[in-house]
Amino acid sequence: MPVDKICGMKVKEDTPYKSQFQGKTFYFCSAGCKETFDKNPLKNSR
Amino acid sequence: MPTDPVCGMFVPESSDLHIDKEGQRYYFCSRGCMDKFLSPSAEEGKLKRKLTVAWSLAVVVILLQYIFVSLPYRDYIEMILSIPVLFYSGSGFFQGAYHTLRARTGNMDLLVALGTSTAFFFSAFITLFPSTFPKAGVYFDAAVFIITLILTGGYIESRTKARANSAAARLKEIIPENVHVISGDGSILERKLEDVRQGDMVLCRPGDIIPVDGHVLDGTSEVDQSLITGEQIPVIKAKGDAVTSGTSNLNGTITIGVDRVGSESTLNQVYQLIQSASMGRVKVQRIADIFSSIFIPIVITAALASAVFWYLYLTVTGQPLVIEYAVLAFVSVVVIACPCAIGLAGPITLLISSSTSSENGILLKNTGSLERLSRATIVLFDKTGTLTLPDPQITEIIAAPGLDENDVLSMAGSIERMSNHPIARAIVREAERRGLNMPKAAETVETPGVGVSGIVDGKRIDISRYSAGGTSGVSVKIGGKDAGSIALSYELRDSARTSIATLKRMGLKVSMITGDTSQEAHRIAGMIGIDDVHSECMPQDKAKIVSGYQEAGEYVIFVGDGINDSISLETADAGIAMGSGLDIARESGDIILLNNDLSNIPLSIVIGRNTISKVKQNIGWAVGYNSALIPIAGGILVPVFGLSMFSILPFLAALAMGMSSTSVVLNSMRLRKKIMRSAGEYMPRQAMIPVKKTSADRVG
Repeated sequence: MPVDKICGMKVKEDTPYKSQFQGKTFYFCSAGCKETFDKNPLKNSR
Repeated sequence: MPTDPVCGMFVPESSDLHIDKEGQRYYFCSRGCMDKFLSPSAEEGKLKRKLTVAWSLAVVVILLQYIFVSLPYRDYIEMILSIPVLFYSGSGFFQGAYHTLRARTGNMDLLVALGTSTAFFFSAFITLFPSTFPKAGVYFDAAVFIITLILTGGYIESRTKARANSAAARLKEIIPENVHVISGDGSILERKLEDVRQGDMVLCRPGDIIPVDGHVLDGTSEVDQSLITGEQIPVIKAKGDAVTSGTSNLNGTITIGVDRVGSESTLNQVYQLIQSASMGRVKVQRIADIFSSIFIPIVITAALASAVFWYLYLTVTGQPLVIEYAVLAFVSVVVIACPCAIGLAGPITLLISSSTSSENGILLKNTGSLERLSRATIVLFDKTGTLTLPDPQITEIIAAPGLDENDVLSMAGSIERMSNHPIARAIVREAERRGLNMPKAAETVETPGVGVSGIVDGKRIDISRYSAGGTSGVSVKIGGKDAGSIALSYELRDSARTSIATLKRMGLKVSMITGDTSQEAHRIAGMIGIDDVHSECMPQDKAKIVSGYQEAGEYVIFVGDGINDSISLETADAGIAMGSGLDIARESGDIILLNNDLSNIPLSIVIGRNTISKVKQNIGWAVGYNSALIPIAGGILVPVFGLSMFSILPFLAALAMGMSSTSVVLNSMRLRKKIMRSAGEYMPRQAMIPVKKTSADRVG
């Protein structure tokens, strides 16, 4: 199961909160986590 | 998923063990953790009473079990003595187990409750119905000693943790309850700190802890700021100077105008940040989380498997005491497993790391950044206010014939008072320091990049700014005629050169970003040993440069001003802000240097590297400990030591479980020494001592 890169929660792949970065899909538990990720995907994806 | 603020374990949001405090909801893995959070001192008193009952009865049970073997009704006496130990001293475990079952999860309480109740009820059954298993003995001693030893372990752990949290505890201890407020008619009233409001006047006598953030209205004193900034040398505070809560007034009486008090005060914010460090997370903790989430079912399965194995094996081989060995194997496995040690591995280390940092004036706002800090490959410095002091200093005042320095300064000050330019602030500050009169100016106009002009006492004054060849300053004209000039320079911070040398020794690249001209930027960079320079940058350009390095694969630390460089601080993998001494909560950056000492940058990286390696070590130890001891408890060593080892295994298991969390705490406490030792390797003692400033340190 994928892990929300921001809060560390496990999330299902059918979550409505997703972002694409460098060809990879990142999954989030909430709009807030997605927003934080999108602000700086480079920093938050590593 | 939320984490328990006491032990750091993951707790599902469905758990009914939660409380709401100061607008935040906290979840707990067990009743014990919740009570500890709500009232640590009451909980300690309760724990002591439970321990007294447990130990006094447990000793009697052991004596009956092994010494007074033939005492009549021995089993009944043991059973009656065990009841208070299990259901009073051990009540927390049963309550916790009940809550965790309702939330359909598992925790340490469940394992303890399962182990002890199995041993107790099995023994009680044999006592009440002796004919069922005629040869079987009772194991009340195992049940009571498991409770007693685990409670003892918990007590030692809480004492050790309190020591680990000493920095935060010291901050809390010094907050005075009552303060002296000067009322409107000048009388001095004693008031509770929580009743003090912004705008009140507080009297602070020598030896008092300054209770509020504010500014000095009257009086002069030396103030020791070491508890907040780590800086050992006291600073003189006079009228107009800002003072911080938690600092110590040494030798003069001062009246303070209150700016911030209570939860908004610096003291409280620092305290909150240290405390919340244990709730922060670093990525390596994920290993612990995965292990914890599957841990309880694995342990219970392993316990059942070993019980079934021994039951079948002993039955097939025709040996006696089949049921007892099966029960003892189950109890030992359930009791030896310690999910708490795994949960504690990250949080306790982060707490000690944050506490050690704050003692050195480094405030960790975001513990997650420790990991990125430990991986850093390049440090980017802002120049003005970071490598140099934020405000320029006056180096020379030249007056035209017939005028003196003070005439020039007074006229310039009158006009510059209208401007917020750093040069203007420096001129006004110097005029105030000299006690000069600055007549009110009229019709003042500021032209950005050029200067300020206006009318003072009927005469036109023009102040034009210049910056050339490494110096900057202003020329002053009165009524169109040259009246003089004031030269200013930015001073390098004491530790700029040595810190950059240290960072290079640590294998990091160093770069400088500034809005200054290329010539000026390279001149300063050359003085302090930086080769990679970006000049003439706007704040948004700085953030783009940070991203550029990240795209090239570097892990970037940006060091800048907490207010003006906020975009770059947020973009960088780790942002280190020079503390402005204002509102910590509003400043950007993952880390704030409260004493503005640049040697704390290499120290922060050392802290990051050592903290992450200690968290990994703790997780490795806790996971390894559980993986190695569960098979032993299950009886893997019986072929070596024989079946009789099962009579002591439940005790050893309880002892191991009781001490495993303590050992994680003790291992974490070595972090402080490790940080200092590895800081010493990169930063020899002489390099840490501020270098005396020379004229070469004036950088225009």
